[in-house]
Amino acid sequence: MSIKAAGSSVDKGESLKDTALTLNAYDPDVIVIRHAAIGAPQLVAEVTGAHVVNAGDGTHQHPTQALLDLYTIQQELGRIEGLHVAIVGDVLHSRVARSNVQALVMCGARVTLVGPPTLIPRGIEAMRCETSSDIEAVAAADVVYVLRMQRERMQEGANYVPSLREYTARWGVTPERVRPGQKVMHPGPMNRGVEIDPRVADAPDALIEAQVRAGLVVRMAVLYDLLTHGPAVVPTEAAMEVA
Amino acid sequence: MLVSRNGYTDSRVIEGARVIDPVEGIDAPLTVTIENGVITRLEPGPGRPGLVLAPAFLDPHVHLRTPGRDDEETIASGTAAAAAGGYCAILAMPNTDPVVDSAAVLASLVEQARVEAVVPVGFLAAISKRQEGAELTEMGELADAGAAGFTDDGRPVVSAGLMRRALQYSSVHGRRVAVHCEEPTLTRGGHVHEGAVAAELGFGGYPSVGESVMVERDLGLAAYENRPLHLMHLSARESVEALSRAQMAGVAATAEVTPHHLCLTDEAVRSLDPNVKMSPPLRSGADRSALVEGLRDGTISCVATDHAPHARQEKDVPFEEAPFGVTGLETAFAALNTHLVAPGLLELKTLLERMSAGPARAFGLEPPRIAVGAPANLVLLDTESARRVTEDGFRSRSANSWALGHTLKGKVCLTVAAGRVVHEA
Repeated sequence: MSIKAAGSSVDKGESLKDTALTLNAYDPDVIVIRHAAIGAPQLVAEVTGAHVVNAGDGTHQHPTQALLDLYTIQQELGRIEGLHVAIVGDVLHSRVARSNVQALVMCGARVTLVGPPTLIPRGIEAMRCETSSDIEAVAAADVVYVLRMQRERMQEGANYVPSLREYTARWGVTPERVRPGQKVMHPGPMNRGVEIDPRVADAPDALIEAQVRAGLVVRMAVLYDLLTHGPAVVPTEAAMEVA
Repeated sequence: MLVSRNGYTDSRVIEGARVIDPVEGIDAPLTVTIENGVITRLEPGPGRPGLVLAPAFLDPHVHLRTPGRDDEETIASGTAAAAAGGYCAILAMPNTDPVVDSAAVLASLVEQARVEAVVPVGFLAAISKRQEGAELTEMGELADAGAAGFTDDGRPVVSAGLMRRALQYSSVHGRRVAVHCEEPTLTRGGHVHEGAVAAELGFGGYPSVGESVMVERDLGLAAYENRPLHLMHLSARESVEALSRAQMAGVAATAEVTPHHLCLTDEAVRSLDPNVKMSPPLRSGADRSALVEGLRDGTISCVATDHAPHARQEKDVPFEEAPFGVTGLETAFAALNTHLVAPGLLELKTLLERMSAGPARAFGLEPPRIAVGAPANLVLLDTESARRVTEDGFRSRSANSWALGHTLKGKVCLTVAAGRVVHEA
């Protein structure tokens, strides 16, 4: 069953708690929720008996994206531990970046966040990653992970960067800034010509389509495990932090 | 300036307590006799461990939500909560609906307080009309009508020019101007202290400097105009440092700090519990330490709860969508006794002073004291009695307390306010 805010009781001012309680009345095994507010999945988990999968809450977390990214890297490069991953772009507003930093560091990868200083959150180093505002910092990475540049951040007065044009000139991932063999990833949807040059996106080293395929199988696996009460032994803390 | 229900006064003999009055310099087991609301005898008596009798507390920062949101709090429920917390007086904030920006609105509150206030309450009036930061209220008339001070609390006075005028004009009415220090262009979209926790959780940051630049500005204006100023709910280390420098330079600035900023840090936000969301936000461990030290050394002379009731349905939402504010009147002493006094961060007598005489002096009120002939404003505390904080224990109409589920040590056994027993447990 798929429920969207538009056309549902949410449009009539129903609270998230009531929506969750209504869904809970159908006795679902799993509720998958994507919500604009940080903490929404937690609220749903508190008031329902279902397994709750966070499919993205605001600028907080996007756990299945991180899982599919780990899976992609493991499949393509054969390992995660010891790799160096550069995540480039608007980290401040990116739930994908947060989940990936957490997951990659947990798996032993080295992570460098690269982007305009206005879009790198103060204090993020506490997640045991490095930061740089210099695009040259991607050169040393095994994987360049490009974040979507959200156009709404470029609204007049936001002043995160002076213009998209300047962003692309300074931080756009172009063929000149990556080297052969360096893998390029992107969570989609892409703004070709903004954060990523089409030549990079379409090059053989780009793993973007592999990520999409991985998304299908990883999310199937998440649902399968939740519906079959497996995998049997997952270290609880790690499971909670990742999923 | 302070109003409550008129009527009877009580007589009572309180024995078995260690009497601590930092103002009078008393720290001894005494039997205290109250006759018709006045302290008539202090005699050596027995002391029971943990039992402390002190001047009752004064909270300079309470949101009574009346008029406009009496589903969240009323004068009756808010002052009953104050009584249960050991307070003999509170000051109410003017950010109501309508705003307390005219003598007519203020007079109706004073009238209502005469009927239903369990403990004396003073009403602060707005600095600017509708708290919009554009035009000064009629401060002279408001002071004549009983305003206990002026503030646009809930919002900063964004315009430096208006703030300067408010300070200049305060010499006309003599009431304290109190400010909520926040630079809105630095805090817009902020939900949580800007730092590692916000970065990790993805919250928009509300940086320390969003407070401290405004503290610096207002201290600069107070120095220039040579007028007293009260800084509300300080949260950042840099603010305490700026205040200390200004005080040393002779500025008559006072400040308050809340129990939640003294007891918690932004680590608490990891729970995503909307009851740890407030403005200013919980800050880092270094900020908390600076606040505790500021309170200890007297740079910050007042504990203020910033008691901010919210309806259950408004807090029963994801953290990001929840309004700012937590209740505090009924847990303030126990929280601070548990988190500051018990671990040895603050002496009990210092805490008692900062909860009573400190706030009274900051607003030009008579400090409650334990002396023969003084009106009885007393709180009897059992500093060893512990309880788990639960929703059903509150007198407040709202239960958005950060301390829910916490076990706190320190029970308010008896409150006497303006000569009347207003709470007994």
